[in-house]
Amino acid sequence: MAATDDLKAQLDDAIRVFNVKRVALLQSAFDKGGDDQVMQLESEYDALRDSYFEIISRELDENNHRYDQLVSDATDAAKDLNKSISSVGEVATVIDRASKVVNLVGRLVIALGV
Amino acid sequence: MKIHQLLAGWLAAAVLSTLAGGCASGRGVADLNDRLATGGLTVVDAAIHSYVDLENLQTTDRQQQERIKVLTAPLDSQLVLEAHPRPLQHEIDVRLAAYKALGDVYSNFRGLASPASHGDLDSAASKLVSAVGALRTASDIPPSAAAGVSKAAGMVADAIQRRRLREANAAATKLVAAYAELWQADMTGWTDYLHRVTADYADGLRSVPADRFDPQKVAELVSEPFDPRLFIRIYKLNLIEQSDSRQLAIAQELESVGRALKLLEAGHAELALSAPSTERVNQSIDRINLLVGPK
Repeated sequence: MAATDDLKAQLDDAIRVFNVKRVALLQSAFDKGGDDQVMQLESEYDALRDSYFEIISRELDENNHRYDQLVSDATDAAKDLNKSISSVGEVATVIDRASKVVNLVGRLVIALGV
Repeated sequence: MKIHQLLAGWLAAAVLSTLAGGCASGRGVADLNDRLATGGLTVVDAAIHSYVDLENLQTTDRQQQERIKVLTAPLDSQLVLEAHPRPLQHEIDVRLAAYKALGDVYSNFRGLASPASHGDLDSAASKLVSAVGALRTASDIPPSAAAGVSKAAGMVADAIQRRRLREANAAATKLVAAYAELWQADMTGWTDYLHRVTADYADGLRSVPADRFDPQKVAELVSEPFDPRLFIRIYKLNLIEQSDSRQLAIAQELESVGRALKLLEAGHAELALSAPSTERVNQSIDRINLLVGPK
């Protein structure tokens, strides 16, 4: 199993759980920061989906010496995000962690994209 | 060699030929080539149809996501958020161009064996080479498949220019094999994409609270004889099932095109032989039509 399969599974899980809990997450965002925070949360959700689409549609160079590290960093960040979403944790933390995953996947695609 | 040995050899060859379903030659091969080229066009049409379906699915996905955003936003929120449109458009465009170019080649492939044919073979071949060049630059193409398509496109172009039927079929075998490899390599990504679109809509819709629905309107839309307290859940299920069946139809279509490409490859490989079997070529064509032909 390629290392990206685990990353893909973690992203899939984060998006799935976000959707299952989206009403609670969005209400919590609205209560804390009004429409601005709702918009920020939805924007990170869209970016997460884009990251997933990048991972399924891009050919990555598995022989690159940074491959394991970059994929592992993104996978760990996605696992942290899953924990926050599953427990409907602090919205700011969910946004931060989602943003971190999106950045790490973006970096990975730039560095390893064939 | 004695006469009875010659006769025995001839008889053995005749029996083998009969068992193999008969060999085509001359006009027969030209007709088979034309039929297979028509089969090739059928496969190309089906592939293009699949890409257009995937293209439209991106619009469906955007609409579904926007609907979910509205339905699950806090009731006091004033937001009407947009969803990201068409994330796979570039990949689809590159592949559509490659299949359209393959279609041009097949349109001309039909007249390949006829000296009277005036098809613009050179132009079709050069269009193929340039479309394949664009395909090769797409970042998501597996390098081995891209190299195979590119090399085979050049061989087809050469064979077409020289109007050599067997050579053209040998080159077409390699070209279609490379297209089939690419299709297969893409299947995982397309399947993941279909899953994402279906699952995100279903999960989002299931999470919409009952107070976001007008029970009377829902009751008008649900005709099943269940307790009215279940209508909202049944209504959600109906919407999810509609979405699932659309996506399932696309998944089946993608699967059929992949199998049809392999049959097309087998048909060309047969016609590249010095004594092709009529039956085997016809079998490939018939199965192509069953899989992706007009219903």
